[in-house]
Amino acid sequence: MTMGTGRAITMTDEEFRLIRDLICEYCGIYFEDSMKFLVERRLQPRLPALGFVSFRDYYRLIKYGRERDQEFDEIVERVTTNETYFFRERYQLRAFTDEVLPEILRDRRPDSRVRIWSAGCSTGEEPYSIAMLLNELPIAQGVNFDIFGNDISRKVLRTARAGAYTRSSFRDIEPQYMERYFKPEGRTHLLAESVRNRVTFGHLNLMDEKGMALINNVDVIFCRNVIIYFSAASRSRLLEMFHRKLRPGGFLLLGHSETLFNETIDFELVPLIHDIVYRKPLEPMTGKKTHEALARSGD
Amino acid sequence: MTTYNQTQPLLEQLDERRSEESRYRAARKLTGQSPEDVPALLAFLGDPSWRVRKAAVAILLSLQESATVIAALSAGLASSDNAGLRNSCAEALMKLGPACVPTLAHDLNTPDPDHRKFIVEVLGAIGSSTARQVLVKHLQDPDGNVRAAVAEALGRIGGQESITALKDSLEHCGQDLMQMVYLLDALGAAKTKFPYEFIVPYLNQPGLDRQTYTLLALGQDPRSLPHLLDGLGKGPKASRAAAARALANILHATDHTNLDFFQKQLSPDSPARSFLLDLLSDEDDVNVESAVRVLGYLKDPDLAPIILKACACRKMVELALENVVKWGIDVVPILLSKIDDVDIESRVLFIEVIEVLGNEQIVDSLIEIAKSPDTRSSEAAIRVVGGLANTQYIEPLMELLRQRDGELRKAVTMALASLGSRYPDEVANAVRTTFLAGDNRPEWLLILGTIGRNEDIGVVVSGVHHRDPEVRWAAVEAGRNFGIDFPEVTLIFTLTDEHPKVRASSARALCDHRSSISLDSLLASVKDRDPWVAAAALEALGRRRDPKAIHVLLDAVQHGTSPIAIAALKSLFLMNPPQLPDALLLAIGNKDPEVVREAIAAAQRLSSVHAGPLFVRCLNSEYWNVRAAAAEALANRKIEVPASLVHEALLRETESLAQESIARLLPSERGLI
Repeated sequence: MTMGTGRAITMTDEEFRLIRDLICEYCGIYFEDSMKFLVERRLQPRLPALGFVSFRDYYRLIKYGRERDQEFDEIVERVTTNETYFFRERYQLRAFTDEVLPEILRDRRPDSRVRIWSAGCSTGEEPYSIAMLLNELPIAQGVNFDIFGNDISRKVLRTARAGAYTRSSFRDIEPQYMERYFKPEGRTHLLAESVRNRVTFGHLNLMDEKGMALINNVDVIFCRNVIIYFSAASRSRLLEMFHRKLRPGGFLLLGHSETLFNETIDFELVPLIHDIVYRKPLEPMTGKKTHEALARSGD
Repeated sequence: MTTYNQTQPLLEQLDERRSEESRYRAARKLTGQSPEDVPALLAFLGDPSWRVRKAAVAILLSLQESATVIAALSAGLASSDNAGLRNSCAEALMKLGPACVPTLAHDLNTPDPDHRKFIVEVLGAIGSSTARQVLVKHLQDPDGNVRAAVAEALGRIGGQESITALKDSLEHCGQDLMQMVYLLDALGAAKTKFPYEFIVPYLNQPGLDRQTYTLLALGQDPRSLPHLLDGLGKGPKASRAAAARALANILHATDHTNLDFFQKQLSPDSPARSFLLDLLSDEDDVNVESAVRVLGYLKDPDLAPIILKACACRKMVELALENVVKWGIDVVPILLSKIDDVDIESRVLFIEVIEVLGNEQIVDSLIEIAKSPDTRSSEAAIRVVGGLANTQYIEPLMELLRQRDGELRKAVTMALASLGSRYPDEVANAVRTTFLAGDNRPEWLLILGTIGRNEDIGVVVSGVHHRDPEVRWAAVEAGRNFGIDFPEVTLIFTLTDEHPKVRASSARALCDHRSSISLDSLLASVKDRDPWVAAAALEALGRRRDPKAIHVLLDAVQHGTSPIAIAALKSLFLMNPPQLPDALLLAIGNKDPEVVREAIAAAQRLSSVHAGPLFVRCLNSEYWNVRAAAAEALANRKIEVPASLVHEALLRETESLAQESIARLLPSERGLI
């Protein structure tokens, strides 16, 4: 077993390209050439941990190695910016509670289920924020919600399931939520079990068609600050998949720096008071009827 | 001179306005040897497709310095509606270089100011002394845009003649602000080191801040500092940023031991400091870097978290670390107090600083950080603990290892091993006792192996019998560190383990043992069903350098499984047998580019006579990185490649990294022109 931090080992341009392309192939995430220094920094600790002296050896591990899937888990966790916090982009969550949700619930049968998907949920703050909001929202009482979060990284999902967070996750939380739903435990704060139980997590790669077959008939997709990391081709695939997974009239909410302009014309732009969101159009022929028909089916 | 109207029918005749691909092919077919070729090539310079234009430029360049071509290219700069044509002509002229200057100088007499402007830009790019002489004569061009272009071109070329001419123009331009701007810009670009007194009259002139600050920076006179500090605090952002850049340069170059006034001007509530803090989040990396440098001289520990956070995901992260570390141990408590409030990337940086500056007293805080959910900062904290802790932290670290999983357990293992390098007996005894008491984690064996006390060999050996393959693997891995002191028979026995990871590790460990039994065992392992075991055995054979292994290595080069072929090539490189050239020739035919890359690396052993053709073949590979590696190998060994072949390769090449490598093979790049 080798010692050392590996910090002195640099990544050549070629190694960066090769590793970058493999990562993109695996999970769609793409790094521009200008991000080489970041990828190098974040992966450097893997070299001594694995007993490697060059990024070439590392590349060969993830290309041919028997443990490449596990290593990709490590890579994804290290190179993706998993940084998130509770009630991130609050204005958009407001759009969700005040404008999107009423629209969805308007013609919905009382016992039908509303499905909300947090795509690329990282350590879980986003779906949990949604769950807490729904807890407090009068129009949501008595409605059956399915809140599902997926991520490609097993580690962040473990954190999400554990529901214990450090201070950096609470940089934008209102005191009443802190008081009502969290209790201190050492250096962390533990989320109330009632909220944790409202969210289901799954280990799914957004680029994995087979895995994604498990998700369907979604009413709202939150996919915030995820697609910016994808290559153009991967983004296109992803958006097409989102389109298929959404019910007609279902909503897609992206991060503030993300747009579907020049990406796809399959979604309609919906300017709300608090935010601009996207929606899968209702079927042109039957329009609203299709939405009603689906709601009546209770599916 | 051929006009473009005359060539248009030719173009139509040649390509019938077909697809881009067919036009590209039509352009490629032209050689410049027959009379119709040149007009056709000139016409292709205006093609809408960059590929076609690029192909035409490359062929025209191979015609060297034909007067007809140069004249036509210069005329092409006059095109008012085809930017592609202008750019292609400009590119070709720039590459043809000084030979074009007389024609360009003549064409500067054109009444068309736009044409003159493009000619000036080309002359600036050519940059020869003759080009400069021509430009100097046109500093007084009647058209303002042309004058500005001339100044810019002279600034880019630089040299005393340029500076003198620009300075003269400046002194005679009166109060024409626009002219002053581009003349001062040019003087800045020419890196002119003016005396402070020369610049003073232009200071405080509205609209000239950016330019004068740049010149102050070049002059590096400490008297500039008050002006620049003043400039930081007022004016448009571009000027203030220029003041920051200038300050950063001067502070770097001057003796600034007496910086009381500097600290005062940049006091916490000053507009200048506030601007610098804002500049930390600027999009332009140069501005951020300047802000970091200037703030670095303040030595204010409270700035440490702000600077690190601003630079966490940016290229100047090393600069930020360097600056903050210089402030000393006072930053440590501040970083520790803020560490839970920042994002992961910043947290990792804080820990890197703490690693350099910290001491034993902060180990407790670091162990707490190590318990946080995110891997990267936990890992970083654990690493620092390993470097700073003393023996009282052996048990807490062992407990941390029991609590963490996956990669963090590896990090703790390394930390304990690091502690063990300083306190071998204390750590080894604690770990050994734990293992023998029934806590049979593999990590304990790895640590014993790293510490390497011979009295622990027995404990490590006992691990190979454990039911858990991870423990057995750890025992073998640890055994490698003992070298030949570790029983050979144990390693041979573990070559038959049902778990491939254990077998692979055993094969690697056997390279230190030189008996014929271990050789036979390794030769048998080459046939292992798991490719990684076979690869490990092949690599071990290479390190042993036993000639009896050569035939096995040669066979393995052609193996269908890439890790095996790669391992064989690595070993053949080490052993350098006479059969190496033939083996490499076979290897470069492999369909996996990684195998071919390894063959190119192994070809370092070959003489240029043998290696050259091999690399040249690889220039035709379908894989960009193989082409790049082959070109690099040719360039590094200064093996000559026919220019036509290089041009051909460049024409085909679409990948930028490979293009750069192949371009190194051009005679001009090799310093032969």
